[in-house]
Amino acid sequence: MKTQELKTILIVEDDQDILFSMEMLLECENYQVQTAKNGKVALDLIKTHGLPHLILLDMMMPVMDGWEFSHQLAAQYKKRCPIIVMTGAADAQQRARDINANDWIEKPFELNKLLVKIRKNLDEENKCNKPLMENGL
Amino acid sequence: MTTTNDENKAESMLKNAAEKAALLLKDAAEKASHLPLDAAEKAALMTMNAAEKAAQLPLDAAEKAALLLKETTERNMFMPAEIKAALVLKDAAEQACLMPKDSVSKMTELLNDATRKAVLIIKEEAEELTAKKNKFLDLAAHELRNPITSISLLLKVAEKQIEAGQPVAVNVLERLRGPVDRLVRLVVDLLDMSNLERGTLVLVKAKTNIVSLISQCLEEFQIQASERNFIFNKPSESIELNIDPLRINQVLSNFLDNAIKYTHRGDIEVSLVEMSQTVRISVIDHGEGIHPEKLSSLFTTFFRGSSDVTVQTSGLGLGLSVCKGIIELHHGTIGVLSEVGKGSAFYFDLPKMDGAL
Repeated sequence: MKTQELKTILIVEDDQDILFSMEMLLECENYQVQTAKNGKVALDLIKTHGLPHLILLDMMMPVMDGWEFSHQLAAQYKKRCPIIVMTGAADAQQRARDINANDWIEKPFELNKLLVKIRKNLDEENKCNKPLMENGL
Repeated sequence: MTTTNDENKAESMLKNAAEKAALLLKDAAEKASHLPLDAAEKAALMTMNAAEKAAQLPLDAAEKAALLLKETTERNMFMPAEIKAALVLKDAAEQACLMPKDSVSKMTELLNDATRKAVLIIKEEAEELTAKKNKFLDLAAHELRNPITSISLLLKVAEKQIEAGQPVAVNVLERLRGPVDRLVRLVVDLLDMSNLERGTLVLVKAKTNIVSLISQCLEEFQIQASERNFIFNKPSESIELNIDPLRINQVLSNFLDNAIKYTHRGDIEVSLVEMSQTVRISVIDHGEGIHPEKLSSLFTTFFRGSSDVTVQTSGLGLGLSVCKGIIELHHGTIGVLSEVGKGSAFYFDLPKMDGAL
């Protein structure tokens, strides 16, 4: 009767409205959500709470952008967690490649498409554990 | 007899060549301002041909052609790069005139050399502009996609709440306002910029009391940003100017918006000072100030300051360049005085009404 541990997703995004709605929507999907308005805040969060299961990363942000964040993350932590790049730029795929991200999604996106990507990446990360996906969509 | 004939022939040859050269240059210069790269190359070829022809004519012909070349380039090249290029050509043409009669080949070489230099200048400018425009398009894509993403996700939240039999939360609806406003401002800024660049932005001027225009604008800002303190050093008498009140309000709002966005504390002052020919309106903040090397690019298109708060204006860096365009249409000037650590004063000077006051 062990309840499944909630997966933590960290959203790094400077647009407060996107942060607000994604937090609500992902919580509806039974994820534990952390939010950061730039790369620096995200690094601080990780320092305090440890690595999340997955990171949703915007690239163009003030103070610390997605490139610098991923660079710092790789330098500071040996362990990796999947990163999905969310970007409004035309070269989303290139940006994802730049930082060696696992996946990418172009803004504006459909929520369902993002959810599929999140699940797929968490699943791959979790391969050694018993996969137990029970999301009701 | 023969000499006179020859002279006449040379004279008419010169006239033809010079006229052709002038036309070619004018044509190329005009094209260059529309299609920078292509036209620059074409202009190069044309100028080179013209220069070669001119150099092959007798000395007095070359002299005249050089003069024409100089005049044409000066008259028809408006862009900074083109003026630079024209100066290079002019110098070369002048030098060619001073050369002895027999050094036609040297003259050609000199003119060709100058032409190549001129073309390089225009080409470099065109390439720089293209790079800037590409960067701008990237930014525009980002700035358009973000509010659309917000709207789409917020609507999804509302849908979920309705599906769950709950009323849509007020804060979800309130949040929709922000990205919608941002999209509206973005589109307005883009249209303004494009109208300014095409010269199709038309002012609707009217006799306007600038004192009450400022007071009204500040009242609105005081409601919008109630946490900030706005001070207006109001003159005792009203001042009337012949201006487009909506456009001047737009410029003032942009200044105030920037003051709120880029400074976090301190009063925001608006001052109105009458000078002999003009009236100066300044928005003074007590923020961090702007580094001297950034000051010159502030009013150019695509410049955007860095801010750690969510950018409320379009964020395309069009704001201040639109302001500059509007003030210049009023035959006024726009500028900024700033000291790092103390704050900045953005100002615009508007001409006083003729005979009035």
